[in-house]
Amino acid sequence: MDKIKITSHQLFSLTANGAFGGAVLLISTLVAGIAKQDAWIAALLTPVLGVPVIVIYCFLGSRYPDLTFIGIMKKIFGKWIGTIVAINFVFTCLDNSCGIIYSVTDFLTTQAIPETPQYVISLFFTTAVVIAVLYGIETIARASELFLLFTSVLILISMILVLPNAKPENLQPVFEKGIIPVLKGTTFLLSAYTFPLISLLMIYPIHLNNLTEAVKSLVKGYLWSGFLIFAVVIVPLLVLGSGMTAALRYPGYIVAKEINIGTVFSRVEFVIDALWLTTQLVLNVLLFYGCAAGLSELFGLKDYKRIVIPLGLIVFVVSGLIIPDVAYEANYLTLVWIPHMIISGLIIPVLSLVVFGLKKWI
Amino acid sequence: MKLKRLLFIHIILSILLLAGCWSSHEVNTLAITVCTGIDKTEKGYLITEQVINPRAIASTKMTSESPVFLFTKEGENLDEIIRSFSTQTSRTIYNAHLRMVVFGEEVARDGIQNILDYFIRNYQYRTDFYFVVAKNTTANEVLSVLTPLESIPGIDLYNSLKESEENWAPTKSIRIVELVNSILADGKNPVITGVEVTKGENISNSTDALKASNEIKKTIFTGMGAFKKDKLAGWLDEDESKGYNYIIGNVKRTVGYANYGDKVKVANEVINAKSVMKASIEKGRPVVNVEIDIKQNVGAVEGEFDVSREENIKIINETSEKKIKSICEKTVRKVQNELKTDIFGFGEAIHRKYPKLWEKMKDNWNNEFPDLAVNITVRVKTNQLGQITKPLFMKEKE
Repeated sequence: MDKIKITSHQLFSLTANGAFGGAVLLISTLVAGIAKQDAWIAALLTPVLGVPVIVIYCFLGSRYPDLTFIGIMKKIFGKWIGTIVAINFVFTCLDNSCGIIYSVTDFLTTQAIPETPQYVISLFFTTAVVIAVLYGIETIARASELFLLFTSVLILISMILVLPNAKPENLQPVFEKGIIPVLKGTTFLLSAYTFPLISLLMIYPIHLNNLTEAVKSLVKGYLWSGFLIFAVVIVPLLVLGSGMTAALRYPGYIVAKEINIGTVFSRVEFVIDALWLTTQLVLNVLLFYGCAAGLSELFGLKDYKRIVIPLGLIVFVVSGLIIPDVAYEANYLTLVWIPHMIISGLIIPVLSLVVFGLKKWI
Repeated sequence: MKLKRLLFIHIILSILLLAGCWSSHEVNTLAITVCTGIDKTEKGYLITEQVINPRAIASTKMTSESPVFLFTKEGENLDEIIRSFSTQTSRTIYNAHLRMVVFGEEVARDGIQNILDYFIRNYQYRTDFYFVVAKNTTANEVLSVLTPLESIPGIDLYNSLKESEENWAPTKSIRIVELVNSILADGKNPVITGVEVTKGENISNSTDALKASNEIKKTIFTGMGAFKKDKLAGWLDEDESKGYNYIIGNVKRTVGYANYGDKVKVANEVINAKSVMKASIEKGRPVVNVEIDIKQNVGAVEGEFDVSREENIKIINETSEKKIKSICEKTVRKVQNELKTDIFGFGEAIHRKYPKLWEKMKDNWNNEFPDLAVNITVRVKTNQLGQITKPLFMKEKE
């Protein structure tokens, strides 16, 4: 298992896809709900604050090039606290991967196939994830290289094609309610697409040869996804306006419905569908891999592949229970999920950096 | 090996279950709606659905069947009514190809908020259909008119609205996103084009009517309905609608004429019109300045007027400017004094420039709007003269 190595370009595409996934359709409604027409400023600001976080991840990884995140935590915090932190990491991955399957099924049943039972959709999605993880990290990385090309091109094309409907005055006035809502929006965006990248620490130092190149490609991948997210935040604002964007459940999809070039190029919203499913798949594979590999390392198993199928069953069942209804979802996201992501993705890495520094200093 | 087996099972399951059979609806089980009409009744709403008759549209043989059928039903709630059409027809109503929503005048006066909620919440609707208001008539009657040239009336209405907006200014196509946004905004109110049914001798809801070429009932777009929030406040006539479109910069191409003296009349084709709306503050009060830039070509000259001379072009420019300015000012006056609803988005212009001031005045905007000072500047440039220069039948005076 340790011999598997991926190239730094593969890491780039994993990072970009992973950060971008999960966010495309949902993100603009939530940010617009917080920051109104200034949401795009929040999206611009996020990478500025996000890159240091990514650098912390990289630094932690580069100190222990032959350990995974679980091992690093045990090294830094000692056996007991390290195990607790590692359990939290595994749980975060598990929780998020259930959440993503929920959002996939929810999206499909809201917008496309409302009569299909949710579990039928999540069965297929989970099976795909399980198969991908069984194939191993190399296959995942190669697939994500292909996917990234496909998703980036499609999202940019569809965002450009809808621009004839854009109204620049939708973005004015800038900073109407001051900077505070923008910062809140930034916090949300950080939790949504920066902190989940902690799951990459199961891959980053251990499965790579050239660590300095890898750091570069991590940051590059993150910035690329930051750019794509900026596009999917600003375009709905331009086209739909902030009020409508905040009211819709999937503004990205409605924006695609607005694409209407001549009569030939219209009704392309299912392109957005396909793209979203693809990025969701990559992100979910990353998280699920982090969960399976992390758990097997905690238990001292030799091969993580043995627990993939049972874990898959758990994720499959829990994905239908994790969020009982849509009204609960909004509360869950702001009150539970964001604090949890901040703890797992920001506080724990920063703490371990501090402890690492103290140890060196002493 | 295990992996291959799993993959195999996955593929087999996918083929069995993902073939689209779960909630599949074949085309021949769908009733495709192109136009929905909403009227108010004592019970709630009267919904009219114009459904395509595939036998008449798609068959290669000539049929004498009507190209569309109307289904009407009364009820309290839109979703409920549209679902219950299944008691009238063997096919399920399918809304994704909707082109037009026609509000009856009474519904529009009563408020359309709750209706819009349904249209945006329901997943079947797209966002590319237009809204119109039936003027002096019911939506049901508008939908029952069969149209010449285009056999499906809903599509005829749609194309006609689109064409007339592009080539003849006094109409405006409005889609759900813009409509909802202008209801949501504090400093803006929506405008929806009105549609009328002309008087005709023949009953036009049978295909026989189409055999005659004249004197049949037709639908015609006339003027615009100005809304206050989601309630119809009043109508703009054709000139005022044009003025409205000039002010908000929605004129693409149109024709206007200018009189010079008693005998000379020059028609001008507007080929490009832009408008910039800016708020400023004068003496502590907000003022809105509208600057309209128009490019036009000479379309027709009546009377003896040599348009090929430079000083005459100047005269055309000036008279057109005056004319357009007076139309716009008349529109603003009428809207401020009679309708009292800010359909131009002047409030939003103030909001964009002075967000803090707007915060204070937005609750009272409806009362302040009639007293708002609006300056309109029009600049016209005449470019081309058409295929001839000076009028053909002009006598040389030398």
